[in-house]
Amino acid sequence: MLDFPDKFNAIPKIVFSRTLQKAEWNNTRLVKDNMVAEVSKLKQQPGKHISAGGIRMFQEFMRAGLVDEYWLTVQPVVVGKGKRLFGGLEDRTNLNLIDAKVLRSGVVVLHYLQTNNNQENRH
Amino acid sequence: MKKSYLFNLITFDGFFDGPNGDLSWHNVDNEFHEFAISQLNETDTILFGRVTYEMMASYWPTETAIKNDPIVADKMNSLQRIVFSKKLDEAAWSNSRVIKENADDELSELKQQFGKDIAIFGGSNLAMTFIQQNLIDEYRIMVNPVVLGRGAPLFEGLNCRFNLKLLKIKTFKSGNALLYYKPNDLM
Repeated sequence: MLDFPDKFNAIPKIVFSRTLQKAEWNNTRLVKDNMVAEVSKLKQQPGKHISAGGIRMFQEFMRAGLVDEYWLTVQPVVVGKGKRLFGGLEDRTNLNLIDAKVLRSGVVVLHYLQTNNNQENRH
Repeated sequence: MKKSYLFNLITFDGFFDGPNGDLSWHNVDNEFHEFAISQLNETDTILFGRVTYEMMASYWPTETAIKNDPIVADKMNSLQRIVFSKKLDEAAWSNSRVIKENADDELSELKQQFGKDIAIFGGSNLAMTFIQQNLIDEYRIMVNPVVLGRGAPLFEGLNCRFNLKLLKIKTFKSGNALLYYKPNDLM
């Protein structure tokens, strides 16, 4: 837990934005456009995994077929209102569950792989 | 005292109903049926809202259902069922009864009795009435391995926020993950 901030600060980061002028956080690069091309290129390189958060951006990657794995953490709380996970995806995506973990806090971590049979659903 | 449980299938992105009521994403196989049977073995009463009732009443008594799925069909057709609806005048499906008002009183009374569990299927509106009255003893949420993108979120518009306690999880070969919770407190 203690070395999480060090790891997070050290790891190479990319921020996609048209409005940001510069990214000052350590080891961060700003990319203004061609997000999908940038990620496609990154995926060609050897190395460890690429982690992506941010819902709007993530949906772009899903549409472009760039997402290989999904991690969902389900918190043990019902809120009734709020933002949806994805808003406005047109196509169904089938996943393969490969692992489910329970944390002491009651959080459930579900780990999925993208299946290969989704191409027919894409326009 | 009887225990009440809510059983729902949802997608990865939290929908329990697809666009135009599309439920084709329900990921059911033999293992699911075995689970459904064991769950019904511990259940002696099923509660529905009208929409779910009509959907189930149009399937389970048919010859197709009895032929394809004899054990579940037998249970679904024989267990005591209650449908909560202001619109419906009578329930034609065998062994069913219609309650027009005070769904929460009815469930409170049922829970005082002895016997097996009370299942609450589907019906987000009905479920929310019970949730708000703190009448649900267990939540069984089955996350299906599919991103739907659109649909009706589970418990949309609920006016309270509450914490749950995770009891256990069960994963299925089909990729479904069933999460069992009990309510912790209402806030």
